[in-house]
Amino acid sequence: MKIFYLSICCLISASAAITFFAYRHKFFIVYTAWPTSTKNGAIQKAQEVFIKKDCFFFHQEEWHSEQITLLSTDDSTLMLRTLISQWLEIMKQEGCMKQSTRLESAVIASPSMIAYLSFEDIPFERQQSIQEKWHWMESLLKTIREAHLKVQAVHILVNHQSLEDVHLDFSYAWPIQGFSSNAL
Amino acid sequence: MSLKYLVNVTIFVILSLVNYAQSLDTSFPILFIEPTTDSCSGARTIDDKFERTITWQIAKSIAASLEETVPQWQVIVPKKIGYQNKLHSRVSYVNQLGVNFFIHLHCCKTATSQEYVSLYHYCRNPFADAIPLRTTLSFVPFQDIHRRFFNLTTRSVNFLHHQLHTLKKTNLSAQILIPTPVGLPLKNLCGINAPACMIEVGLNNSEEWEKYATILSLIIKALLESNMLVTIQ
Repeated sequence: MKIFYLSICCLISASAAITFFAYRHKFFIVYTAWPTSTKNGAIQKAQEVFIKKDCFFFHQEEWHSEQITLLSTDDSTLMLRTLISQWLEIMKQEGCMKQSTRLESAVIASPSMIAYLSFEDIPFERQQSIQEKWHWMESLLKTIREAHLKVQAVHILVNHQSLEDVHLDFSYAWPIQGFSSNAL
Repeated sequence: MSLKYLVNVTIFVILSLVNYAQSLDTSFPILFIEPTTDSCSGARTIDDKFERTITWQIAKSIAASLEETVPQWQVIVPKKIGYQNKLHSRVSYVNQLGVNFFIHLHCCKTATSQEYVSLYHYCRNPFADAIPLRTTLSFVPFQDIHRRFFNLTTRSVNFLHHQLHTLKKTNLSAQILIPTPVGLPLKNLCGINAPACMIEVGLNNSEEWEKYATILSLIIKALLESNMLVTIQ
């Protein structure tokens, strides 16, 4: 009788061990209907992939903004490039830019946090006033500033050389705060 | 007559002449009006007329008017259009003259039908520039020289802006838009030692320039008569 009970215990232990071994080695999968903590995290992560940023432009004597959705990334240079490309599109659509141009490349120098933006062509037209050119630049600075990319200054280039303008000096980096606060 | 007496008389005469020369130098405060000269870059046009032609006419008209109304000021308008192709040489010329106030004139065709008069002054960094430049050295870096009279510059530009608003109440400039003056990194004002401002006039047609010449003459006259700028240099 004692041997009978002993053998039943051994059998139960062996089957429990085999089941556990099979589960561990994924011979079968236990599916539960309720979401697990891992799945929650995955949903949250999927939501974090997209972030919303504002693009600013000055039109008809007042500031406007348009929200755009960008892919979230740790690479701030990539983020800056996408942001500026989208901003240029909006500027073109809203009629704030007469001269069409595209962003060639964008780099953020890490110690100084100066953003170097190189465009394919001069973003200004010959007939434009100083006010219009300044508003274009101020819109760009405001868009980057509000995106919180930790950029301290922006240097505008055309074909990887400093932008030459008759009125405004682009030979050095413009501070990210812009010059709006400097209005008397 | 002793030699000592002769030496004393000679020294006295020399000193008197030096004093007289110095008093001649400082007798006239100088206003420098520079019309834009875009001969080496793509020029803006207003009704088939180049910007430089119209600004030249405005500058000459202002100078003629000021010579009559404010004779104690010497008004200089550079003779040749397109004289300043090199930035450093023209800045050096203006600084060596000991100018009391510098005005650079621009005009362009308005994008909308609204005519305007914009005022600017030079600013490189909105936060750093407001701090007065304190140096015991005679040499001041080219890009920092505007900080010597930064406060006076902003006060002068503010004064001109205020005068424009005062004129707005009259029929002369009732329809003109006057944006708030702003400090920007402007190429044509970089390196100028004296208080300096840039004026941009937005015109609907090229024949309107005479109206703006009158308006600018009136506001500049008010500034010169305020004696704000006489004591610099």
